[in-house]
Amino acid sequence: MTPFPRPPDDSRTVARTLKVWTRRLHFWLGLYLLLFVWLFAVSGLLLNHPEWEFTRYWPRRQEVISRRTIAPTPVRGDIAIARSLIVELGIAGEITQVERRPADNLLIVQVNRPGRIHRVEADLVHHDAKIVETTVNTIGIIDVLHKFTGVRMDDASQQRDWALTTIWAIAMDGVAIGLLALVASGLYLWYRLGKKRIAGLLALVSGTVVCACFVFGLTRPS
Amino acid sequence: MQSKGGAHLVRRYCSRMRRRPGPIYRWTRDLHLYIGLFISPFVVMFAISVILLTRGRLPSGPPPDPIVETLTLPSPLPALDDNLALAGAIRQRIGINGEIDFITRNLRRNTINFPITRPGTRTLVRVDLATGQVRLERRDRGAWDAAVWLHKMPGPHNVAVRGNWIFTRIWGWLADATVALLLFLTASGIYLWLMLKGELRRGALMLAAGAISFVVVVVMVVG
Repeated sequence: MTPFPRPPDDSRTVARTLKVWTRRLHFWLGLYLLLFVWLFAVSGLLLNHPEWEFTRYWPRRQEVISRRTIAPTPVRGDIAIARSLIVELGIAGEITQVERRPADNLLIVQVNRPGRIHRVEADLVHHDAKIVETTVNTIGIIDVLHKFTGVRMDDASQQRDWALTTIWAIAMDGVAIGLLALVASGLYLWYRLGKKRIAGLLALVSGTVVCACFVFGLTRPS
Repeated sequence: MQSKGGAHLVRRYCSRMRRRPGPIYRWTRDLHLYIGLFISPFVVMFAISVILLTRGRLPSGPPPDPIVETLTLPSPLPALDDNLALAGAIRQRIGINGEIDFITRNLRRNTINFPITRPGTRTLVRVDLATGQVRLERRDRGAWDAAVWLHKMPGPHNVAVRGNWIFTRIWGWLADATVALLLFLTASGIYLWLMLKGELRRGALMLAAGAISFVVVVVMVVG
């Protein structure tokens, strides 16, 4: 109920000013990140419960197949051809797969963005492309937004190639850093609450012990 | 008219609560504090693993070469058709604890292969069921990998066998609890902000700025 006092003009103490601004930072950051936190929290819950019927978006996907004539491309190399191809076909997204199938003269290109997957099977000899566009529902979009980084831990060759994937990855990093700042400011504000230090310490230590058991305690092989 | 009436009621309630804090305010403030402190290590772990995942690599570098070991099963396996049950029996005999992941069984060659994963360690198990010979390939990747493993667990994949290790199940409950408590922290945070005199306008501006950023970036990415 205590209103935020304005930072004192005469700066009575640095500690007081620091507390006021830490409190502001905690509130402002929390409010700024609210929708991002809701998105990642709820999508994390959905990802962890594939047994919930409504989270199964893939069987409910919709597919549209079309064919297009493609122009001969002057570029060389599968990745370069794939990039030129998706520009020509007006497809936007992250290229997640480029595969040459020499037996059929096909170049397979898969392009993903949250909610939509394009799979292009381009016949570079006959200048013809089959495009399969798969769309998923809102649950599917939320699911992909949670994981849409454009890189993979187990495949170093996978690099981000779409500007909006980079922007989304920066947003994810921003939310993560914001959460770390919320934790740090929360810890400082708790520390300044003298009479709640012991109870707070118990809560913090119990959380730390449980979390550390999993991060460090289970790492050693039996 | 209805929404104006609702807003008026909220303003009147907030104003009264500011003058004289009631038990709801005090309870909310204390729960916000203690729950926030309890889940802060989990939030730190999830936040750090996000930064690792968006980079696609660990600070510890690429995975090390596996430590290879061969052994013979100490006792014969029961005849089991169920792949998970068979893999579980092997896991028990070789004494490696962890979550059994994708199981590949080749009936013609009479072999079964599966990884056993745990935070920071992955062991690929290859068993010749005819001879009882086991080949283990273990990679230890440490705490960074542990954080990433925990971030992804239990996850949406391999539903048929997921949770076959007790600690994966417990972690699943903890991950759910972290989400629930985080949602509580956001809701209680909004309530506590509404109770703060003189911060409504600036807070609303931050909320609006965050909402606009969110909508803009999501609309751009989703298209």
